[in-house]
Amino acid sequence: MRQRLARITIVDLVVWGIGLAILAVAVWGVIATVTARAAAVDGYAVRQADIAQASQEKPVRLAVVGALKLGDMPDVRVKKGVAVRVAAGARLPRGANVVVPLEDTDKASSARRGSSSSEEVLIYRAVPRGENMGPIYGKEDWISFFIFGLAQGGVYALIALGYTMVYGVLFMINFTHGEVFMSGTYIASYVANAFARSGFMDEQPIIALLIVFAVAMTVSTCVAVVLERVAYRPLRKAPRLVPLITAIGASFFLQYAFARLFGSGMKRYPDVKALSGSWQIGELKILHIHVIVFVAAVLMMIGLYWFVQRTKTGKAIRAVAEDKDVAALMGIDVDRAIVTTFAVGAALAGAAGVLFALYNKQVTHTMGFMPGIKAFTAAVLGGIGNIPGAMFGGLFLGIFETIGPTLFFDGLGVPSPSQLKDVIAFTMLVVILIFRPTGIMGEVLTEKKA
Amino acid sequence: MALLEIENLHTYYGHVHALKGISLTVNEGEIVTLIGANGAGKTTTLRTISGLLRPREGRIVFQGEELNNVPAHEIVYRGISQAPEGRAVFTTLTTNENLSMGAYSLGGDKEAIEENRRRVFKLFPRLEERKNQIAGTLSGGEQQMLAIGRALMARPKLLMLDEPSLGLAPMLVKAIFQTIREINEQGVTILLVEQNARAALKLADKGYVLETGNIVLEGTAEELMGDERVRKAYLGER
Repeated sequence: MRQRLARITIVDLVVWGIGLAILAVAVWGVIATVTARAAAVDGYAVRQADIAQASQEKPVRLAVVGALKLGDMPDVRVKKGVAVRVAAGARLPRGANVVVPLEDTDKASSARRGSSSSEEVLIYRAVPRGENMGPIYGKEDWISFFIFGLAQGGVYALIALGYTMVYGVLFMINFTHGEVFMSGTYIASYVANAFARSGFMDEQPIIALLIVFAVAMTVSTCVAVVLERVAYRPLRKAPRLVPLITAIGASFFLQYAFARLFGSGMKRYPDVKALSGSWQIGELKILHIHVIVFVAAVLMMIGLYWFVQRTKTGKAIRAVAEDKDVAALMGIDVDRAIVTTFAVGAALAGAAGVLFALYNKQVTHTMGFMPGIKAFTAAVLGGIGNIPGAMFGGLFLGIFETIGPTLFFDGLGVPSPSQLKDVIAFTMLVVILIFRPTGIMGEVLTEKKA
Repeated sequence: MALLEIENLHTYYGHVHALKGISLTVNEGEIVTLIGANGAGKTTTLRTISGLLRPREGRIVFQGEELNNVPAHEIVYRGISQAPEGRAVFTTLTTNENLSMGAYSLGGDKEAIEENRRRVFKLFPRLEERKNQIAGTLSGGEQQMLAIGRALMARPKLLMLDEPSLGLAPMLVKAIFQTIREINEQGVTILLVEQNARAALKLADKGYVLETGNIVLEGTAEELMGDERVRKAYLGER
């Protein structure tokens, strides 16, 4: 026991300390978010005890100490004898346990007393405790976050598959994959815009989109195949750091090449009428495009799984991933299997790029960076080298970074928490790398490489 | 007639001179064994024949054609299969998928593949019982059977076996060697690399003794078994 304790170093303590701190903040944030309340109507946030005696005949007079609009963070507390003006949907200040609707109140002229310049309000009804307030985020909000997360996660998963498959055969992180994703989408955006201008996109949306997908997938595949031939294959026997460096170099090369060739501004991606619109289910609004993106991503993942599990080429890729020499003894052309892996991963990335552009409505030469590195995070999360792991990791990351910021940070009073989604995603990457570097489905990986 | 002829073969691992001029001949229908201690160059010889290593000097001739510059993945199309050392089956693939990989060189000829699969299952009924099992979960003996069966799936003229007895119980070694004889009787020429010299020489027609990259002795199996040096060094006699 003592020996085991002795092996725990300061570094371990710091690491676990940070881990626990992150966990504590997360838990605290979730509780704060879930318990936070917002006003359901325009009115005044007060303490119920103060207005218990209020009636039409004998209104209660309270001092107004502040006003909160939708999205404001409360900077006041509701104390005894005090009210805060709140707009519908505004977050309630601490201390308030009821909202009196505007129609049950009246502004009192404070000038009457002469001495005080502060505003006052008359309350005409003893509104019961808890009335007119509700959770800031309703069920519908969480569901719509979730659906957007699924779409985003589907895109991440498709990109992550490219990382994980290449890692599976070469033990190399292809950091150019984000640019492979970008190149196909970027070129295809010209086709998409041309179709939109000519009206073809609206007349034959399915054919038009299929062509756009085909163009994106082809361009991405060509870029990846050339890349493999030029930047990776000559270095296959080099130390593993070397192709990593060429990957980063190639990534910059592609970004700047696109910026120089096509301009560095944002390019609009056309609206596809057939994909716009939404379903309204009660309070819940679901955008068609999010569902379509998710379904398309899942279909492609099923296709990939079938390819890898059932086809001869897919099995050859798995054989090469396990042992290149033995695969060659079987008559498998290892170089060809590796190129095929790059090509398949790139085709998925190209398709993911179109899906991504369809709901983001724009393309730039840097658009590959963030999704690329997020997908890498997803691949690590699932267990790099593991195909179902990448699918799961992508979906999980998409949902996590859509729901997470609001869930963890909203209650802590962070303004516009959704801007923190990258912080959340990369914190998760660091936490996984520290506590479970093989990823969630990593066991399979260790067994495979053993 | 010589099926495989190797002349003055030199192979290097980086700067290490692993094979220092090996010559050997395997005739059609024979079982030829290559015996020697660890690091003598047995596996290197097989890897060079299979094209996984390139010889710096010398010639490998199979059925009258030189193999020196044929890529590894094309060697199997010429009729040479290898069951590599340490029963290197694809542990994440099932038994059946492993066998299919062995028949990769047959392309889409489903009939031939299924016929070969039946032949393999006849030789190793255990594999048929385990056909849908992930190969990584098979026992050591079953994995060795699978490695041999997989090599047979390509219908080779020459089957190269690298230490099939490694790590197996004596009973199992006996069974596997019995099967190797059966395979040979079906017309497959065999080049067997073994540390278990006694078992290998009992099975083989002809043998070569390899020491630190050189062939130091060659002859028929009986000659080698009778040789003083072999008896002392490899058969454990005093």
